[in-house]
Amino acid sequence: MEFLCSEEDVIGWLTSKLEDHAVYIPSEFGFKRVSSPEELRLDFPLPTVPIKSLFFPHTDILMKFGNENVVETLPNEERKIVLTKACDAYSLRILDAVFLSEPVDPYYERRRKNTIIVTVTCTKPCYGGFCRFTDVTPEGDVVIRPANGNYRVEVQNEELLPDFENFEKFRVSDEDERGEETKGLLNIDWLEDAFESEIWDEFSKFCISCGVCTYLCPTCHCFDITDSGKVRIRTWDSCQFPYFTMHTSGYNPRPEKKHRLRNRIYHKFSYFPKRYGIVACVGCGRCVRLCPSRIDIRELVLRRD
Amino acid sequence: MRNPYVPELAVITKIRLEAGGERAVRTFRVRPIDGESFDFTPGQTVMVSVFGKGESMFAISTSPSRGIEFTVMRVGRVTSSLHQMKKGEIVGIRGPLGNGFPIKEWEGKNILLIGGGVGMAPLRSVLHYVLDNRDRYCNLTVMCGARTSKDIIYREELEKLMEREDIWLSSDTEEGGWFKLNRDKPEESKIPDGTRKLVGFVPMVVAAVKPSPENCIAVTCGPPIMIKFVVQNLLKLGFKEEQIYTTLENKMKCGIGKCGRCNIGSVYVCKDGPVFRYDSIKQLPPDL
Repeated sequence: MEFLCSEEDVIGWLTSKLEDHAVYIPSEFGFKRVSSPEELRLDFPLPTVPIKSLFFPHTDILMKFGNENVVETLPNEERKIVLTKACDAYSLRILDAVFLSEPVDPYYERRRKNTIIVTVTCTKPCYGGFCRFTDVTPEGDVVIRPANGNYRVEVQNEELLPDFENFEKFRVSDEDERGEETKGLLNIDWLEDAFESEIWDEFSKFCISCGVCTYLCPTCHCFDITDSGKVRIRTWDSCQFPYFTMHTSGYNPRPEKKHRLRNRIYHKFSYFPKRYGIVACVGCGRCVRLCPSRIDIRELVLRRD
Repeated sequence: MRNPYVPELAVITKIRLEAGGERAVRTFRVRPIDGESFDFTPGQTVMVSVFGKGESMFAISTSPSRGIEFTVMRVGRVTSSLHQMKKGEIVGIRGPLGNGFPIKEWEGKNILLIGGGVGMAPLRSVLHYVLDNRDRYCNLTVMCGARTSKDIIYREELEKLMEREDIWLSSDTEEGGWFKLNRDKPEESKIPDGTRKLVGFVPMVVAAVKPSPENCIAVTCGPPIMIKFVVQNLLKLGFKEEQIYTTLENKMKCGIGKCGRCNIGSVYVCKDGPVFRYDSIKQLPPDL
């Protein structure tokens, strides 16, 4: 069901939700908790730190060790509204596939449930982004599309329909008329027989193994678990780090940069689709914009000469 | 719903030294404190916590009817801490994890176990299972080797078994009274009747003893280089790829297919493995 709303209408709706929801809005760096209605806006940027940080934080205490027991430290339940761009909203499909499949990850599940995703679509492509080539379609409990100074508000979660019943119905969405971009434009079939290709050597030559492409990737979800005194913590980890896969014996199945970069690309575009039926890249462009060595994943997965 | 990251407490009830030295090997027997059942299949693994130090994944080295044991080489932080622990102390266990051997499918077959070094640990779970259900399986053959005779784990137990089963022990280095295999042409070695202790690498033992592929399942575990040549020699003897099983290992943290580090292609060794049939390993990208 779609409604035509003004900016005030949408902000008004969000304001009404502030009372019993924690509302998060992207800032330049990451997601911020909204503390007053003045902070609500619809022209927010795509933040550097992706949406995963709200459900799978950089550092998470998993449990505490008592003298004769172990106490799990699950996060508190919280009713959340998260404003986000379409790429980050779609990335939750990939994270859900990992963390909500058996055995369910209770830390992620606790944070993820009772979350309303409000997606505001972009009006123009961002630098480095290539979402129009990936399978990303705007989705969320509510999807807001800017339309000539107003907003088309598509309520995908029917439970929220009563909130909007006083607004003018736009019209029932029609897939054909909406005219969203053609999808499935990634050029990834060549990966089938490129495992031993020289391209990995070439492509990783300037990589400094800093891991920024993975830390700030909305779909990368690798983590480490370590004990620190009386607590066991989980932290983001990166397949680009040399020690990530090193056995205690010293043997390392992915000893060189080319092996690690290859694993990252194959994981997103071949292994993950094989396992979960979905490509694990949303084309947000963070790794393109933020790589200090200017390694550009688009050269690999868009049209190549 | 049980939190899959939180270990159960278990008390160490027995510790046995298998091999001494810098990289000592000990076998730990543990019992869950709250008596919760820990029902596993041979080949499955357990994540063991030394609280404050971390967790490591080990193969369970006995059969379900005999309790929970795992065999640990002292190499890193967690394993060094484990080696300092005493009977009666508490560890955490998570599991059983992984797939295990299709041991029921193997009923009625000859079982050949080929282990090298601490790689014998997961094979001992099959050994114990077969011994516990002896009438369901045909011939049992075990080939167990290590760098020196002192590094052969479960040696006492295996020597005792020699009276009733076909057990071969081998040492990579010379050993007084042990029969030396022909290094260049192990298949031409003339092993005297009744001799069961050999000098030579494990793949050479396979070539020299020449086990028959007839109605046989071969399971091998050990260092990757050993597995490679053992498999080569088994294939030469006429074993089909579908008759050969091995267990793989990789660095692991979560043990439940989420943390992302033990993958080989789209397969997670912790969850989809550690047991793989040789023909399915060949389908994986060469990333191990």
